[in-house]
Amino acid sequence: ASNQIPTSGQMMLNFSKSEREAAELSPEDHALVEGLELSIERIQDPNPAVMRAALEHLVKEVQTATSSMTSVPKPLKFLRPHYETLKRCHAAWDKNCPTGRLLADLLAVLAMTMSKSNKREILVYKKQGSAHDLDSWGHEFVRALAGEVGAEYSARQLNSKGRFKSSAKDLVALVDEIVPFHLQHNAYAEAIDLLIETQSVPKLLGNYPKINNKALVDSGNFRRVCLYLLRCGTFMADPDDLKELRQCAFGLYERHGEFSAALGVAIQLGNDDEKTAFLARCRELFKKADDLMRKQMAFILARHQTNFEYSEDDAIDEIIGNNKLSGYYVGTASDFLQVLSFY
Amino acid sequence: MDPKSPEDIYKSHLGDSAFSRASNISARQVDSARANLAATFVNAFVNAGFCKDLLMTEDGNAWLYKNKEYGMLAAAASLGMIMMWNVEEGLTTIDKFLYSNEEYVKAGACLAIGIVSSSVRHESDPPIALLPEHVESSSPIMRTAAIVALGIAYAGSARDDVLDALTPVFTSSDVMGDVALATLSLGQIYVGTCKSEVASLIAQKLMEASDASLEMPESKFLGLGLGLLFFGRGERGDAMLEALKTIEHPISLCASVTLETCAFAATGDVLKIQKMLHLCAEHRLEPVANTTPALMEATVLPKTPKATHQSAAVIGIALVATGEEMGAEMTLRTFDHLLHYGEPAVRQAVPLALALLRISYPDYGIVDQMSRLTHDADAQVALNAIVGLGLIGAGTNNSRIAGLLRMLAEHARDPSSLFVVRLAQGLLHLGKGLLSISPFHADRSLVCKPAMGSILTFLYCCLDLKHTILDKHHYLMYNLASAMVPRFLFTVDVELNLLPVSVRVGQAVETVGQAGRPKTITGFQTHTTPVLLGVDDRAELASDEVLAKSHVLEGVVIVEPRRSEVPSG
Repeated sequence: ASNQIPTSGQMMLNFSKSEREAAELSPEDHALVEGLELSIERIQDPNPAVMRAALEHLVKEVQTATSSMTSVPKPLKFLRPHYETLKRCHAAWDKNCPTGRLLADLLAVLAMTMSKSNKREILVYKKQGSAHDLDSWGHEFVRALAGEVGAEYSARQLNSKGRFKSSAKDLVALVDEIVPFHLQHNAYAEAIDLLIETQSVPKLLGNYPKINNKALVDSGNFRRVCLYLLRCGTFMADPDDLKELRQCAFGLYERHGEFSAALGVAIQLGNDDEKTAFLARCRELFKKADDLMRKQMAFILARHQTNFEYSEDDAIDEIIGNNKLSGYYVGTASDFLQVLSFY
Repeated sequence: MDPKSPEDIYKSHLGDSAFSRASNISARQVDSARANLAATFVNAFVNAGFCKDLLMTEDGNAWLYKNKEYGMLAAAASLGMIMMWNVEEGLTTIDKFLYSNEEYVKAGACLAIGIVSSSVRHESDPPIALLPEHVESSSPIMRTAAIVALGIAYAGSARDDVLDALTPVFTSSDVMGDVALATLSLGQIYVGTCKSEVASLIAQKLMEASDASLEMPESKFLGLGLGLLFFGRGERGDAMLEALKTIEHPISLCASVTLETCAFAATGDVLKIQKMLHLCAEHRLEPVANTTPALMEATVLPKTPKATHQSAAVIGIALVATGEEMGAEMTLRTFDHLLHYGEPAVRQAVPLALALLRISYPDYGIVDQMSRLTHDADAQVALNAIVGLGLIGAGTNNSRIAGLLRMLAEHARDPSSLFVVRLAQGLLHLGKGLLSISPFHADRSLVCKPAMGSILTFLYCCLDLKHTILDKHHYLMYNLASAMVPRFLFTVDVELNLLPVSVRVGQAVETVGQAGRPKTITGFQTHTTPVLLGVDDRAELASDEVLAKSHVLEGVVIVEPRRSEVPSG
């Protein structure tokens, strides 16, 4: 039947002409399929110009389909029978020339729906293609690629110990492309998930170049980023990863002047960071904040019953010592209960 | 408002019958010493922090002399809780009793000094000035009071001068009672710091103590003190765990469980929870004729007769899971299984563990479950469930729990049960409903360690009610002072004076990962501050004219007027 997509086990090569006729393909689809099949034939042509033109046609069709949210990716469906053919072509070509890279990029996109699971073909082909300009292939592709990067990183980590981090440079290069893409499109969760999976959370603190003169994590989105980071923290298994995550959140809050939230993270970190003790971190925050914010932070520290002392200002030290509590409480309680007239 | 007397608490909302009124009177006459003791504690809890009450602040001597010995100690100490956080006036009030001829009154006054200073760091610092001399007193009761008071006053402070004051207890004393309480105090003072000097002091005592002293009920506090030292520090407790394995006495197992669960407290670490569940699943097999030796080997408990390590494991499960909502809910279901299939030691700890997961949070389901447990066949489970009811409703005035407790009081089987019911009633009406003992704050993202430590101390006491709270050591309940905190949201202006501001208070909603600007609260009502917040409540400013300085509206929040936006170039 015409609408049957071959399963990964089957190697159906072509919709036969009769099947195509039996199918209810619209005239546009019909034209599309013919165009694609022609390109597939031409791509195997020894003439490089012909080959190049055919490849570009395929790329154009696929890109138009995947980069828009509203179009149905029909080329992906119709190219399914030709996946293996294209793979064979690629294997035969010179991988370093631009045409080879372009074909690798194309194969990476096709692998999204056509490769067998666990073979990580998207990643395999993407690495042979170009890492840049992921935008043109669409959001779904970037997500699928990010998924494989994360899975590959974990697999490598399980299989090797020690010198593992240096051998993951190729993956990290991809992360550097994917994360800015996600952050630009407000997909904070995806970006942070990938960073967590590849243990590169500190990159949020600023390794990424500005785009349109705007930093990736700016005053508009730092709250969401930090909130998601900290919530992920409840599920982190590794204490070092958790520490890195919290340090990153602390850095972001501090940079954007949200000192009370930064203090909260500092309290969570406590003395877990050997390089910066809790008291030193507090002192750092108190130095940067204005007087009113210092008082507010003092109230938070008082609630937490910390032993931080701020000798520079007695009034603030008094607040940290929770000396204001009784005054507020006794003063309020009687009025409050009177209003309730419950007792 | 007028201070409340214990009778007001016992009888509030009494709907009903002559029967209930009559039975109350007769129950009171049966065991008046116990009844007076209960009244002391209820009075302390209900008027905590108000600096005014009907029994002690006006003419304390009258009430004081209605009690004897430890009852007098509790009564004198209750003054500390009533004057809590007000160090100056508190000291003036307590002073009269500090030089009393009655040893118990003097000891109570020492304890009061510690309680009045809990959570507060006052410049005059009375506890360190007045208490260390009594740590080495010849009177055992003075020593006890001073040791416990230092722990309450300096919880979380990690002060070396307090360590110096308490070290003599370890170096020159062999009295397990003193050593255990000193360990607890040090654990509270250095909570979560992993301080190695303290760790070695405690470990050494554990290793040197005779088997007889380790059999005493207070010995479990050694494990708890050690656990508190490593509270929330995870793997840093591993070295000490190894050291504990070298101790041959069964207490090492209990202490290890305590240490491990404290180290991973509030982390939600599933591996630790599973490990504790395995411990709870062990059964004591009666020798059955057909059992193969291999089967017996696999499931028989180690020779500890009381299996306290299993109780500690149950509380430990709650301790590790708490603070993370999903994990806590899963653990609640696990406790159902433990109730069905567990050994008595496991079942007895379940109500306490449930209470730990829902401190000051009387959610309908948990109240139901706890209420069922109060009618359990095992008397220990029932008593712990009554305590549990008090804990989950602590400071909320929850009317449902109040009704349940009144019923339990009417039908109390014995004076001990009635006493525990009264304590629970006192906890329920903590601070007349204005206080909470939840250690969580900042939108439940932070855990106050001394507060959690004090709750754990109370729970460990309840594991052995007969020898602690129902015996002479009821004063250990005053440890809860470190966890008490007003439920108010206070808003203050830039001069730090209270400023009424309009806020919306409703149930907190999780908005992580959601697009746009979703509402963070649901089912809200608009109030003017100061306003009471429950454990799952959240507040947001309803007024456009002010900006809050804090990212979270809890406790004391400074608000400043919103400056009108001046267009900049």
